[in-house]
Amino acid sequence: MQGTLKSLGIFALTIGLFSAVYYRAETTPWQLRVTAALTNSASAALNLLGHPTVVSERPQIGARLPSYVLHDDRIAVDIAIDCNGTWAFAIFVASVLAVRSSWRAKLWGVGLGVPALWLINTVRIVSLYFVAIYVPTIFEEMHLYVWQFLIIAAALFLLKLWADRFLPPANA
Amino acid sequence: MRSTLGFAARFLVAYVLFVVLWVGVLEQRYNDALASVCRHLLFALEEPHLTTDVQRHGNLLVVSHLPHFEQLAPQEIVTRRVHRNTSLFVALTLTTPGPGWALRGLWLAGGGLLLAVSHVGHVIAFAHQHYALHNLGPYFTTVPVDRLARLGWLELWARPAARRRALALATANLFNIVLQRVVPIFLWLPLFLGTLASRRPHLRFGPALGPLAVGAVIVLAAVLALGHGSRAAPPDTIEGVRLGMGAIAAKLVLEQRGYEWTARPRALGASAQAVADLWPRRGPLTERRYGPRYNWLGVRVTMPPDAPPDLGAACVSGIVTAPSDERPERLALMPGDPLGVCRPYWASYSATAHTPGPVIAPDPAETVCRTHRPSCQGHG
Repeated sequence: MQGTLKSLGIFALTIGLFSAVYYRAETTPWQLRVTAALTNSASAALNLLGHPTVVSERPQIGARLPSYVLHDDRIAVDIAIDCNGTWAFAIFVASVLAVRSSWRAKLWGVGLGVPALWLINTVRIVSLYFVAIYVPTIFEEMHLYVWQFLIIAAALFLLKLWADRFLPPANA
Repeated sequence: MRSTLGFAARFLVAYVLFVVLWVGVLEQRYNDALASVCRHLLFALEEPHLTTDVQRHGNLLVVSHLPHFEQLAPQEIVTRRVHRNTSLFVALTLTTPGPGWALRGLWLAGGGLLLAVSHVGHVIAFAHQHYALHNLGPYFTTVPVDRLARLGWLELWARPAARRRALALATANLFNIVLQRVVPIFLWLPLFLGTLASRRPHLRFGPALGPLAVGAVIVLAAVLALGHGSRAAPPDTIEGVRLGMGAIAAKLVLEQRGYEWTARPRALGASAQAVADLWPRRGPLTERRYGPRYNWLGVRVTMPPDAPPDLGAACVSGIVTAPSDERPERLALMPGDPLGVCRPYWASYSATAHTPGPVIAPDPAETVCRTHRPSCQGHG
């Protein structure tokens, strides 16, 4: 029980630290860079799939930070700071750090999990782009009610995968 | 790898099924219960009362405010954006490989109750974020929202209203950005860690798990009991707050317009009357909580020199002079738009009628002769 409470404490502390940085991010450019990089990844993936797109910076009315727009001549998908998927990364890293394991295992988890999540997040943005083109009526539902938690669920699947690989049964 | 893929497949099926069940059957009933609990809690906790009702309208919760907040429309809260985390928690709990069904059931009950508590907190935090954003009630301060973030801890500590405003905004952000995403994971994580017990014996659940779940049930039962035990605010309390809030709402308009205010005389008169009506109601509780905040209520209405004197001063430094029921109506007879300039809330604001109007006949019952003009001598 103590181990579980300690793990929950580490999880909460990591999320708390991330949140503090997240709030402070409004005055620092790193969130912008992450968002720009994610948008560029999605743009590159769409270009590979034969849908040439470009990324533009767009100032938002009433907000101090701009958002990034992935667009072609038909449609534009706005990727705001709050919708860039970084919370899935935070939850994954916090969960890996919370599970009691060696630092080596944790480093492997973060080192492999973050790029994998980046890939899944790119798939999310690309799929939302296609939804916006072909089934625009369900875009809001897909964005708010499906993908926002599926990306977090994906982080948890990666956590399970990591645990299966790096935390073998004690009697094995 | 295979077990993780199986977990993912089972999760997706459970997630979709529960989302369908939630949207089709559970959501509206849950929102009804949530509205009831939030309504009772807000009545029990708010001082002064700002909220008059919380109701479900379709998939929204609508928070209504005191009627005198004319510039504040009822607030609509889209609960579905938050309650979607229920589907995540339920699907994760049902499909995580390892635990027995009894443990899953216990987890669903305890975790679901804690999740419901977070939903109640979310609605209350959003309602008060609304008040804080509009600078109303206990959040009334001259510090604009964009300056709050730059205030240091000491400054916030020294300014209670600014501190309350910053806290209300930060709490709503915490619920909206962090907790709605993290709480279901936080509740599920011990279950997942328990599945690792065979690999890491120190993670095995001990006997404290039962009391933890029982504790969760007791917490929610206490919240529900508190909700049912409370009563709606009595009408005279609502009326008193309504009058006071009218004055505060007038001040809010001034702040929103950069402390410059152009208003018809009727509005000035109504505001002054609201101040006069509020003042006797200021009790020890209100004074302890909001004492300095009401200092702005010193209102000085400067009228043209030839205006009847009983229309002049309404309320200066808390001393109401010559309250008159018909003052608003008589003020409304005056032509022109008085321009009000509001100084910070610890000072009073003054309003001066720029356009001299015709002389209005004084009210004989209240006029005090202050000149030595011959026409006054007879009233002596």
